[in-house]
Amino acid sequence: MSQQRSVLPSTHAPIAPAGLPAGATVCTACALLCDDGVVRPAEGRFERLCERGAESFRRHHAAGATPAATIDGRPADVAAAIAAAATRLSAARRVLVTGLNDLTIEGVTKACDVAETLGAAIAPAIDDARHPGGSMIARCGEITAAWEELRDRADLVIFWGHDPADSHPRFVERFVAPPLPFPRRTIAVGRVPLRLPPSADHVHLSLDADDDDVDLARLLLASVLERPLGAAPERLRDAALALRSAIDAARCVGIVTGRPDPLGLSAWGVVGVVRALSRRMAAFQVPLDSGAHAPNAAGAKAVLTWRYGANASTARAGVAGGSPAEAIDIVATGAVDAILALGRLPSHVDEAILTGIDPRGVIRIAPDAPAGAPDGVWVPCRELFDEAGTLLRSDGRTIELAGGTADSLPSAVVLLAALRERLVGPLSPKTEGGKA
Amino acid sequence: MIPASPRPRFVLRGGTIHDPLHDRDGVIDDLWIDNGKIVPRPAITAGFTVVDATGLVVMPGGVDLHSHIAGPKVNLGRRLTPSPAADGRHAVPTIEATGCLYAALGYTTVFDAAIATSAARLAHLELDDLPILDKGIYLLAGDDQRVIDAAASGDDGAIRRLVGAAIEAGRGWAVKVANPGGNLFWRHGRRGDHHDLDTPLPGLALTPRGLLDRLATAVDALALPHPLHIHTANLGLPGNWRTLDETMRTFEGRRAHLAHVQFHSYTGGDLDEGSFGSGVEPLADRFNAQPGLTLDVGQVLFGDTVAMTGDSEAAAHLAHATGVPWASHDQHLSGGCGVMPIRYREKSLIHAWQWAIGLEWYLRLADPWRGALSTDHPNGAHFLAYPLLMKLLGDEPFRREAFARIHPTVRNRSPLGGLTREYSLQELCILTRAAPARIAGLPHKGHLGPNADADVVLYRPDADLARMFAVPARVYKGGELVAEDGEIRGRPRGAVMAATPTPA
Repeated sequence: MSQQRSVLPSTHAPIAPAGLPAGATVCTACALLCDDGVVRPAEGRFERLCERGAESFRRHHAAGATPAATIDGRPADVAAAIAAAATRLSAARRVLVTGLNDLTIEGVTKACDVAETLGAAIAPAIDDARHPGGSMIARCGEITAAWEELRDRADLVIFWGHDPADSHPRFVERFVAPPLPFPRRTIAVGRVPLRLPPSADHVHLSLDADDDDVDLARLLLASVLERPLGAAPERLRDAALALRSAIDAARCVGIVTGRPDPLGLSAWGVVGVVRALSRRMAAFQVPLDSGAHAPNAAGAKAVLTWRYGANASTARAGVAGGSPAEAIDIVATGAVDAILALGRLPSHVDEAILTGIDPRGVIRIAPDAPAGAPDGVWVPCRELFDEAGTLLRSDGRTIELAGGTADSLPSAVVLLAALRERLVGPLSPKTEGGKA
Repeated sequence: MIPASPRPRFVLRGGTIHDPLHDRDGVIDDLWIDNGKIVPRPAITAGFTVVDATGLVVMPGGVDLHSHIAGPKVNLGRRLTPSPAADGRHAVPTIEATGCLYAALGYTTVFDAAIATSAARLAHLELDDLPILDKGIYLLAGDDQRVIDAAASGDDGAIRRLVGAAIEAGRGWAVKVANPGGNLFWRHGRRGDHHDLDTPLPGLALTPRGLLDRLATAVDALALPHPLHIHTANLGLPGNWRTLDETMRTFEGRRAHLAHVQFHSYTGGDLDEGSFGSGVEPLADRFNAQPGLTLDVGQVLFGDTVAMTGDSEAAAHLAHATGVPWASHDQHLSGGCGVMPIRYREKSLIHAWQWAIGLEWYLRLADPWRGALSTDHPNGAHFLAYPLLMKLLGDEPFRREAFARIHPTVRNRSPLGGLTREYSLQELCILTRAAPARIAGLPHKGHLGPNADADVVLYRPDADLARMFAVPARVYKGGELVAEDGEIRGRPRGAVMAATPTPA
């Protein structure tokens, strides 16, 4: 296996700016957070956007009058809605603060402040279990790289049981399709082929079942470590040897993962392969977690981790050492009687909330009116792409949002600050940076 | 308990003052504080509350100029080690706990020593949640591909502009370089290729030494308060003392700061444990003879912790040597990081060498004003272990006892056993606050003279230095009482310190 070959093009692409020019638009329809699109509604131009992204902008620009807040289905002004929200949250026996993935990092920070004020549980509404959680990374680690590093360096990209077209529609277009100064091969490992244009440089290694990739990772690891493959079906042995052969011919390998994998066995297997490869060549994993409905899932995880030491639920905000769990699990326990839901929620979490607690205890700060239940408090806020603030892509790149127009709906950050002020009173300069 | 005092105006009466900058070494005196600053004794003292400090040792607040407290690699560390360390404390505390624990320990200023330029905004968002302490970040501008390209083309003006822009945009305090150019070796897949300072970077007409030279020139031209902060090549590798020696030679007659020198002071070669040993003596001789150099040690202390570095090569080497789960991430053309748990053991040959080598560095330091106490938190040990380190430096019999417990080969071969120096309280004060403040470029910190920030710590004198420094009686930050006997009493926000580069 090669150890000494160059993998970087001789000229490097310029580093992307940390922020976008004023007025530029970031698509927040999924966690890909595309910042190269053209959005000019007056000219009817919605370019370099996926269908989902273009639709989100069209819907926004076609919307009519600014919606009013509601209290139990009745229109109310924002101040009254915030006051009602504060009253109901204060009166609740136990509160869950959830959503979060549809807020800026600044918004998540404010949500944590509110949760700490209430002594609430806090958990992002994660819509899948694709990525190893806190406990999994502690057991197996991860070797990863920015998506642009995949684009600029990897001459072999392996899609491991996951087609990004579902979760991150433009991922292949932006980070795999651009040409390198040398040929790039792609291999899809999985039950169904990748939705890629036919190409001599692309191979599909078909598996019979989704979780065959766990055995395939074990075989590939044995091959990379020059150990006997052991007993295994012939087709999996062949697939492992084909992968090994492709890896041997490569300068830099990127393995894209994202298959829903609640037990983490697939993720564990891939991490082992990448770790073994990285001893002798440039190799990394590109985990594509949290796609739709979770544009800033990485930002929410980052804030929760630096605040509470865990990237998922925390039984009582402000106390370090939470354990991974989904909001839906907390609702299912019946332990909460009020919920502060921030931003759009995955449908299965929404359904769990509707059936799990008295709707009057549901407080929503979100762009969309709640569907199905008029009770509770809804305070409309601006769309995430219209906010000013910071997002974090799951590969670690920060993206600045320039902020929308003056006549936009209120920012979620402003609304959360107002809510906290109702809960504790105005902040003094002395305590502004600390906790109540 | 000492009665609480109002914040704005008070006098600490009759304390035993250690203020090395003003040659006050255990002088009994009063300290006047007004509006967050130390002031001369006012002509009219009415309105100043008296706080009795009789019998207490008074020092400036501690300054940690090399720590890792925020940013993506620290969050990775939290995720990798979600359980408390064996001794009951989190190896990588939450940002809130970081501020409170530092403050309760008597530290009032801290710098994160390695933030990628592309991660600066995220790090600042996290630092906004760090209570009490004044804080700053060193930016890994030397890992930025544009800077490296400019250095390779010999365009000093472009380097200066790029570094200056990075400092301004990232609100950085200093420029850190972690394994100069090493990320290119890593990204090119060059494994096991442990280069020296004169090995050309892959595909470029530039050596690590050339990059160091040009970065330091840019930092000086920009008049940044702190010199180039250097984590040199070959961290953790046997035989790397030569690399550190060459790094010092590169800066003859110039200023530079050498980070965590303990990790760069090993003899031996080719992963040969048998020849592994201390290269400190010749290195310290050279360091002591070059007055423009300063250092922090990165002391290893025994126990569980987390290693984290912007040096992906070094992280990979350590991870593969230990076999632990590790995390590594490559940022886009702006560096990367590696993170993993580690347990330092007294009976490990290598770990015992590391412990002894760090202590040897402190004890061979001719001028404590040119050194800063550090464990490279959390790499060598948690910052909560600083009091233990101070006891090891200030209590020779205690150090001898500890030395007797380590790996026998190290006991037999380390020069540490023959070093009997003990740091005085005044010298410990220099090492933990006066010197790091001066080295970091903070004229308003690290001393108790007029116009200094009223960051003041009161300790109960104790023959057991670890006990004395572990729990200060009182800690004031900007004149506000923030900790008392280990309990947090106030949570001011603390300032973010950002340098203003001289325009190019």
